[in-house]
Amino acid sequence: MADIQKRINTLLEATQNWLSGDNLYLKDAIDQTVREGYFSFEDVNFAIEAINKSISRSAIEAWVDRAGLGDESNASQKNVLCLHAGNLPLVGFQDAFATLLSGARYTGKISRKDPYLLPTFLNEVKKTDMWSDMDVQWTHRLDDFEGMPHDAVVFAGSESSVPGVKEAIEKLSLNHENTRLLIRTAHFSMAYLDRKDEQTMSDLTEAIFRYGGMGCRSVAIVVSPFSLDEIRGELADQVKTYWLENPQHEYPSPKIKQQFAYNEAVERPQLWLEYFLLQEGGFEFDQDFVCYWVQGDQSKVAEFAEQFDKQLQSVYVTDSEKAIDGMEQQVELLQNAQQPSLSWKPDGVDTLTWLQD
Amino acid sequence: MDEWKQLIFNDSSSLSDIALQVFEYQFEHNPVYRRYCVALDDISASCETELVSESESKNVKEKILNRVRDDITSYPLLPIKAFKDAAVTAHPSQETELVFKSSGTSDMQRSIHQVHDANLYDQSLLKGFQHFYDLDNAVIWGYTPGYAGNPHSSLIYMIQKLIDQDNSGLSRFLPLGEPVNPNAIKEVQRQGKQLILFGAAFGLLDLLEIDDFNLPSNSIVVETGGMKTHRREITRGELHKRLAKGFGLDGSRIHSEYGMAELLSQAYASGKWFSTVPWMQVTIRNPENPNKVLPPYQEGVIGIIDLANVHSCSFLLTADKGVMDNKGRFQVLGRWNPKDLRGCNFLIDED
Repeated sequence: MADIQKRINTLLEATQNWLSGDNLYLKDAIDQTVREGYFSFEDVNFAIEAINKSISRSAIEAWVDRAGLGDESNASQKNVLCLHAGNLPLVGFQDAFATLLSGARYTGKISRKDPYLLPTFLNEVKKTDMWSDMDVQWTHRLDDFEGMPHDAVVFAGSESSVPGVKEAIEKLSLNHENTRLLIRTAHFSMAYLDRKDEQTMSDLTEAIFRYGGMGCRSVAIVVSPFSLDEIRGELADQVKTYWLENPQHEYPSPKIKQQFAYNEAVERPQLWLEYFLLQEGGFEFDQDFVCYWVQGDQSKVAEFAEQFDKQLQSVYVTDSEKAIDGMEQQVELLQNAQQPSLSWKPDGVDTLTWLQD
Repeated sequence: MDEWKQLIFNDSSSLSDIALQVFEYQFEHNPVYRRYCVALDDISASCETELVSESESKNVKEKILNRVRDDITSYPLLPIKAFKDAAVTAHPSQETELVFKSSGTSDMQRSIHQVHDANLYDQSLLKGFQHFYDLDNAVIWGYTPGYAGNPHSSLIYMIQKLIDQDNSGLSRFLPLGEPVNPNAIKEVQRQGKQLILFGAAFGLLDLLEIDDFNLPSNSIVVETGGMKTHRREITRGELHKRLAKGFGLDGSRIHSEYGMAELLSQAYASGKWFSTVPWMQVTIRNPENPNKVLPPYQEGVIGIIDLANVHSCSFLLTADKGVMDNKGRFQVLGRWNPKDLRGCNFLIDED
């Protein structure tokens, strides 16, 4: 059997074991994550269920095909360091999975903000014959890897954080002169809402409010032919239902009340939702728990996509026929905002393809 | 209007006493500020009713007045961006005498400050300058564009007014892009005057690049900010070093001015720390909760009470980062840039 096929089979088996109902390690990790206040039980469950739905033999094989991964072309012999962020539960899963699938040796820096969940998956991987202790290593402290040079480093960053991360990589000798860096910088996504039936409103609610609006796949801008005033009733009802089922885990700082008062002062339409603020226009992106609403059509979406460029992860539409000029690669269905496919492309880059280069 | 000037620039009344009167006046007459105060006071009430009744509004005013009598830092501070999004004025239906706009390119949204009493600004800038410098003995030079071409710049208006106070004929705007005439410097010295040169950070550096020249040792160079442009960036410390060296002055002769279109008062610094005029007060606020004042030496957002803004809004939260010492002086550390939000972001110290 070809190596790539063995890796697919083994990863499928490891994932199935990890997600099986009698995996007490995962149950304990969930329990500890929730008990120690890292994330809500509902958000952790949702993240795990999203991974569960995204993984199948056909999905992995399709990804492998698309990326051109095979026994001739892969990342075996490479050492890949994944610096996992911890703003969402299991946000690093795709990077770890892609690294293993590529054939590279995986070194992971597990986030101290999500310390328990990903290691339970990695432990299942290590139980297989395919990956040894040397091939899959992780730690919660970056300096544990001091002096281990890597061929590639994968992480998410920003203008302000990237220099510090690069400096730490250099200082700890985690790189060599040809080390490649995959740095993602997208911070939010945008939705085009052209209808307001119950399912669409439910999808929009999920896309905006899941994980408290954190994560680059969460919607921070809604462009819609409807004004916020036209839609406030439906949206408020949906949000109430959503929060009954998914109690808010983190709360905004008092600054958000100031933003509410400011919007009142300048007579800007807004919708105050206790833990979240939706406002028409006034882009600032200077605080969490704020989503911006803009009345407009697809051309407005295209305009914002150009304006926000590298900050923008995806543009969501309500049906697959909807086209946004110049955004063909970044358009996804709204219903998939928080449940991406296994092979989704952070910052438009296919991780599996990138790892082989 | 003259009553306000007498009150604000009157040394015998305290800032806190005058602030009470200014707040009452602005709450009554400035709809933007009133709406802000009311909404900040009770979010749930504001959400449920389209219009806030007169009695509710009065209650809010009384509540705030009771609070600020004990604690002057508890006035609601209106974010300064309001000057971009609304007409921040206590005279919404009247013509204005002056309009100041923040600097920026034509496609940028700029702050607009409607100034209803130009004479009040004149008094503020002159008395403010006199608070720190000997205006009677000063020759003012401005290495900035002139007022005629920039009628909406509060800074250039200020420099023009300072120039107008000098009867010697030596004060003026220097022509841009041209070397300074050495004879003009000699004439300032001959008349025993003190030269005070105003200019933006990179303007002054550009002036130094045109020609080498030393200023008389008692001169003062006042940089007015602008350390970060779309092309260039420099720290205040580095700027001052280069200016001192370039103009042949001791470092202590390089001063800074902190002002903006939205404020009718200025602060000045002869080193790192800015001091305010008596009718202006600065506090450093917690960026996540601007109602809270931060202790000395902790960085936050600069909050300002500027009583000279009586006809617009005197209680403002800037977008500038600052820090205060335990003497009430403050430093300006650039714009407040919130941490990267929402998206995944691997942080060495946190992750």
